[in-house]
Amino acid sequence: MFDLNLRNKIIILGVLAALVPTVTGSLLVYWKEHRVNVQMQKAIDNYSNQLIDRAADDAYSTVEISNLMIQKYVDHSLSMARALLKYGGEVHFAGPNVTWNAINQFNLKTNAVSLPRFMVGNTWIQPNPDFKVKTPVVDEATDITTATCTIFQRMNEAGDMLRIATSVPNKDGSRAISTYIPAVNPDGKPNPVIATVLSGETFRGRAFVVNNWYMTAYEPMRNGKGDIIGMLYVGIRRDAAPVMRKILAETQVGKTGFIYILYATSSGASEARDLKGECVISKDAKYDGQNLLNEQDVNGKYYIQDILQRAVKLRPNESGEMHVMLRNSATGEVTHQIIQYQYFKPWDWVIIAQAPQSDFDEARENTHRELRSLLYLSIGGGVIGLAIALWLALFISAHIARPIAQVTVIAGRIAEGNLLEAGQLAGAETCSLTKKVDDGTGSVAERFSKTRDETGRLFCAVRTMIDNLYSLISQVKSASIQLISTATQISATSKQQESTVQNFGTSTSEIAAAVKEISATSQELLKTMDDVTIVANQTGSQAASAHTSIGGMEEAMRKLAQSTGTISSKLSIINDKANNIGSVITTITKVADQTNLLSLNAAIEAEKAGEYGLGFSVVAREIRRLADQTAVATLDIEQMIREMQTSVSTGVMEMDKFSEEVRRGVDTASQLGQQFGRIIDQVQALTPRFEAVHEGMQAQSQGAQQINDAMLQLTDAARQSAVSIREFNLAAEQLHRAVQGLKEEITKFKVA
Amino acid sequence: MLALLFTIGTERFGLDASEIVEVAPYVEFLPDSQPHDFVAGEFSYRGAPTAVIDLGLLTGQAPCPPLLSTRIILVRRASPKYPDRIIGLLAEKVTETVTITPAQLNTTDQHIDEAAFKTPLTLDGYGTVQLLHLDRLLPTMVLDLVLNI
Repeated sequence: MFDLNLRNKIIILGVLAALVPTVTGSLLVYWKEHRVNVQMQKAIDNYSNQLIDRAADDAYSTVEISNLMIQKYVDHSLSMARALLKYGGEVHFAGPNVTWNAINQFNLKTNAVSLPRFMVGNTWIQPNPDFKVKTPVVDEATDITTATCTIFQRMNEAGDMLRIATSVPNKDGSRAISTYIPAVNPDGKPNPVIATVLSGETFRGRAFVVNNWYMTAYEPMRNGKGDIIGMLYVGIRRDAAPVMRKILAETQVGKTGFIYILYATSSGASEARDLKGECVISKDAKYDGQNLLNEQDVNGKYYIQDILQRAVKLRPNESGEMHVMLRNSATGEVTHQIIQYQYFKPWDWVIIAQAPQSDFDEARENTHRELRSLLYLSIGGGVIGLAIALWLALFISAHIARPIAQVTVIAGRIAEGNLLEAGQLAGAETCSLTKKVDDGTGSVAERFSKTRDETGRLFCAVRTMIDNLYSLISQVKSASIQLISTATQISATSKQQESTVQNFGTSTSEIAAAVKEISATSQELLKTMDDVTIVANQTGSQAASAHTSIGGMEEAMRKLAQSTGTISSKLSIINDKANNIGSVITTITKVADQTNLLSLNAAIEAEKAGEYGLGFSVVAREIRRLADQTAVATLDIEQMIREMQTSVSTGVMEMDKFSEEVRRGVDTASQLGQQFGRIIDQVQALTPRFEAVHEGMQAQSQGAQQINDAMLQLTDAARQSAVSIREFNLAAEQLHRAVQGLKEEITKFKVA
Repeated sequence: MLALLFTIGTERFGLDASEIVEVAPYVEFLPDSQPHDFVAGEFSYRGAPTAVIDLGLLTGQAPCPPLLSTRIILVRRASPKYPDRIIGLLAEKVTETVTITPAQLNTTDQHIDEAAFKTPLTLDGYGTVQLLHLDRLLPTMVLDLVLNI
């Protein structure tokens, strides 16, 4: 930039003046375009989310309305079935029993039960699994209302309810009879349906009947006495509402988005089928019946599981939002999908509206295109402006720059030292006196000096400067020759002094190194001593802790010995007691013997008394038996006592042996303790000796250090002197060189 | 008939209760009494020195061991020389009486040996019990010998 001449600078100034606004404008447009894009994206995102949310809302409302309608229809069907039953006559039990293989609908266990016949009026509701044969009441109800209908018979007091007639089909197409609802669920809680019906109320709600979800109503059936002897059921398959199915399946969200519905949990269904994640309704029935739980996005995340988990926590009509990147399995293309979901709790359905974000991209692309063309236009205008500015700058710069260029040539001659030629070009007085110059140049100089503007005044000033310079240089030339000889003398003297000082510095450095080595060695020794001391201390403390442990062990051993002694004494007490019992037994034996003898004599006397002694002889026999029993019992006790005594004496012997061992353990422990004590004493005695050595070492080390410091100071002083002399020397040399340089410079100027 | 049961050696015997005065415990014999042949000694029964015959020795077996169930059966005996005297009989396991019905007495064959001092009987719960005949066991000659001492 600074190498450019004046003319070029002016041209650049002009071009920049045109270029800056153009570039700024373009940048502004570019930056604004980015902002506009972001705002547009926000607005479109907002709009698309709302649109999809609206679709999910609409679907939720559709399902809600269907739910209400089906509920109404269930009520209607129930009253129809009830009317049919009433028309048939009073329900009651009668006649010979029927045997049923009743199957628990939860755990599928079968047990045979014998139940009385279930009568409606005079009609017996017979077990009938075949749809080709009509079953009264239930088939009539189904024909009229299209709802499924079942009659349950109460099996027992608990309230287990057996399906005895039904229009609900099994998987194999037969009637689903002889299964029963137990009064208690497998989890131990009372079954809500049975509990409600037994309390005399009608149960309404969803139920998983046989293989499908139904909207149901269960009503108690009473006999003439008002007892609940069964229940009446009607139900409509929940997904039977075809209009709702059609509306939801055909709903389109945005351009290509759609709606699908999944089961949120598997609660309430049978154990055999896990409904969680199974698709109920989808666009064009594409996924119906499939389980979508394991669908993944491009990152491998199970996003359907995420949705189900979050959806069940939503309030009614509240939406959840999710963005996923999905790979189209057919084309392999990755699209950004916007998902809004809601949870319809009564049916355990999660309603999901999904649409790709690309459907909403058109508006944003249009805006982007317009802004791009604005950017290109501003750049084009800028280029034209630049061309005009360049041409103007060329014209103006030529006018300003020419006189300045002439002055520059003159200044260049002065710089070269060619004052003579410079003076001629400038038309100076000094030059014009000594030498004649050609008229052409002089006339040009005359023309510039006459101009009254800044360039003219500059020209005159240069001319005056050349005159003054001429006289100055003549004087300096003569002075410099004298200075050179003086400088040479100074330089020689200082060099001599420098070599002397350098010698001194070298000897001090050698001494210092030797001292440093001594100091390092002693410090190392000191460190080693420190280590030894630490090790000795550690040994001491470890021995001390071992000593404490041994002490504890000894104490424990002593306690053990005491306890053993106590147990031994307890055992000998037991032995004494056993002996006491033995003497008591002897007494009892004697008493028994006496009693026996007494009874013998009594019997003999009674015999002698003949008829009168009969009663007495019975008493005598009884007394004898008692005595015998006593004797037998006594024998048993004696046996036990003997065994007990044997065990006790064995125990005493074992205890004695044990306590001998414990005593030996105590002795060993105390010996160990003493040995450790001795070790500790020895180690502790070592420590003060180490300290004495340590102090000596430290003193030595300090002394060495002090010598070292002194030597270092000395060396420093020597080095400083050397440096000062060297600096002085350098200064002298510089002076010499400066004078020499001055002389050379001066000779450059040609003055004569 | 009520019979007192006891044991001599390995055999179980029964004695008619009507012949028994009393059963006494096996006590120490009087210090000046002299054991002799089958006589174990004398003891004081109701103040009178009374001879005691060891039935084990009398029947040619081991003497009765000194146990609690070894007792003295006191019986009343008479001979022309000593019209009314009480004699003690030492026997083992004297702890039971048993009632013998006339039917049980008749079923047994009493004619095996008219002179035998014992008659075998089969009693329910007791097996074979020898019914002892005192007058054959202790003939007058033996009585005199005993009472003479």
